[in-house]
Amino acid sequence: MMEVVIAVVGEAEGGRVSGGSREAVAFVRRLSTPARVIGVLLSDSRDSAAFWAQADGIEVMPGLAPGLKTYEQRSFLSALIQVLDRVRPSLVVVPHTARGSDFAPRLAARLRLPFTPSVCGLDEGETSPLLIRQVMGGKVIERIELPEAAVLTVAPGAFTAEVGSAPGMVREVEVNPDPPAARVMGRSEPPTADAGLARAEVIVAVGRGAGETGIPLGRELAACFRRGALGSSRPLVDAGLLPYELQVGQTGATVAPRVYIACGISGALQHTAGMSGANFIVAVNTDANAPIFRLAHLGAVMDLRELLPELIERLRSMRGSEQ
Amino acid sequence: MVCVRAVPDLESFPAAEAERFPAIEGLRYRLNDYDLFALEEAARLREGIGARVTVVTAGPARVEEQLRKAVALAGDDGFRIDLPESDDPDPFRTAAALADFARPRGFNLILCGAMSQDRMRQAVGPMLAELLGWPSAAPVIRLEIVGGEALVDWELEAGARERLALPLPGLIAVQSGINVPRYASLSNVLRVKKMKLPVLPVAAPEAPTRTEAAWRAPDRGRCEFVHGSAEAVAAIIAERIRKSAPVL
Repeated sequence: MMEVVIAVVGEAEGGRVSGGSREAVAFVRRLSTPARVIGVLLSDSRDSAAFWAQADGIEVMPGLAPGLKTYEQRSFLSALIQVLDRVRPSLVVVPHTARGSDFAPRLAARLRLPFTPSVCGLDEGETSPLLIRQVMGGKVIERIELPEAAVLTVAPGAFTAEVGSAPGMVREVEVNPDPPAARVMGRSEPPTADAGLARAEVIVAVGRGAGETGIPLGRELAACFRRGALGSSRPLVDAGLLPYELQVGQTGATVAPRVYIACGISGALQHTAGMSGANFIVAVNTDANAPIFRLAHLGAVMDLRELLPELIERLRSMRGSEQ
Repeated sequence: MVCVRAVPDLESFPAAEAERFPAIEGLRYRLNDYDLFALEEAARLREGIGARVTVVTAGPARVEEQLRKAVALAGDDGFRIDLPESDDPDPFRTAAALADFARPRGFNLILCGAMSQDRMRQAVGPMLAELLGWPSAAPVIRLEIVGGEALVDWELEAGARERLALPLPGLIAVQSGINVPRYASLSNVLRVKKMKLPVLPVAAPEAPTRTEAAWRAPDRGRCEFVHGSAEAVAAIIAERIRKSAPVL
């Protein structure tokens, strides 16, 4: 039988390799197919490759070229194809990051391979493992039979990196990337998260279901707590109703307060990525099927406009009696 | 060219019946939210630089209603590629059908939404660009056309952004929040109501890129639900919050 080769395309990060790259290796190990795992790393320095090979105990094939210092789609893809031509993998596994989502579907199309993005779990199937991913805004779970050959991306935080048991190994590959198509003009960092949000013990977060009228109620509820703060999911920020500094989630702040009260937030992966570390999660939503209830400890299926005024009154009277 | 997609209405989607999708009775469809942002960008280019806008969708006959709505928002014309329901789950097949449509027509720019809200793959746009040999950027939160190039900001991790000058022709997948989508004016709705939206046949599949997928409702998880009047529920929640942390 031919040996199964699985390539994991890592991301170099200041002489190391990203956590997502190592999680992708952890995913491959959970597939329980005997396979040769090869880490592919495209960058301008050797350090990350050595770090990765040792950390995960895998063979790493770095493609090194000065043009690969910053990611540019065309250069990166051409170099990646050159390395994959040598590796000849059946599966190509990519961390689901901004960059991964940029090149992975293109790679699948170029290689004419099936593409399954943002895999967040594994189930056992009758003949092959089943890849689990969220669809319909997290309301539904999709299970996909793992094809013999495919390009996959792995959701951040879904698998836990483990220390490798085998000695790692680095084999450099020469690459000649195509010239870039796009000009990279610079990078801007987001405004820092609201200071109140970062040190809050209780965060009251409002979402699409709260709408414009729910925001004052959320703010009032947050004010009931000693160190309470208002947070938001993306839709209200996109609509210009709240500033970006209050946004919690994949494209906003990551928080871990003692109590998180999600009001009118459906709880798609993009939001929960930023708050799943909260100690105690309360969810209020009119949709009993909202995925936020899978994460919440305590849930109420009701309109927050009815519940929040009662809750505010209750907390105020409790506070009054404690003082 | 703007690519749009009809998706099942997320709010009313019965998760418990997910296994029967798409054969769920009475399922309502609407335009994918992200596509509304792409259409708004197109409408602005139409007004700003006099761009001619063609709206395209690939899907069965049921999607015509949403196509018509999209054309009313931003399009000069609209086409439906007759992709059967059974091929809908394959992003490569959709991208290949759209590429066949785009190739002979000389578009300068293709806009689409950053992802579909039902399948959530973020795949068709980049695949379409790949098949055309064009550069692509996704998800894009700012777009400006300057001197034959697209100046875009695309989103990286945790809110960071990178600015790119993308040569045209190119494909841009638009992120939510890039603009505030308009409603279609009555005159535009009437304009499109009588318009003939051609239906084009789809070529045979090129490669076995389809995966076998099944949908199911997620597990209930650990949530303890509180029932009763708002007052009773508020009392329980307040008590539990106080127990879990001295935060008042």
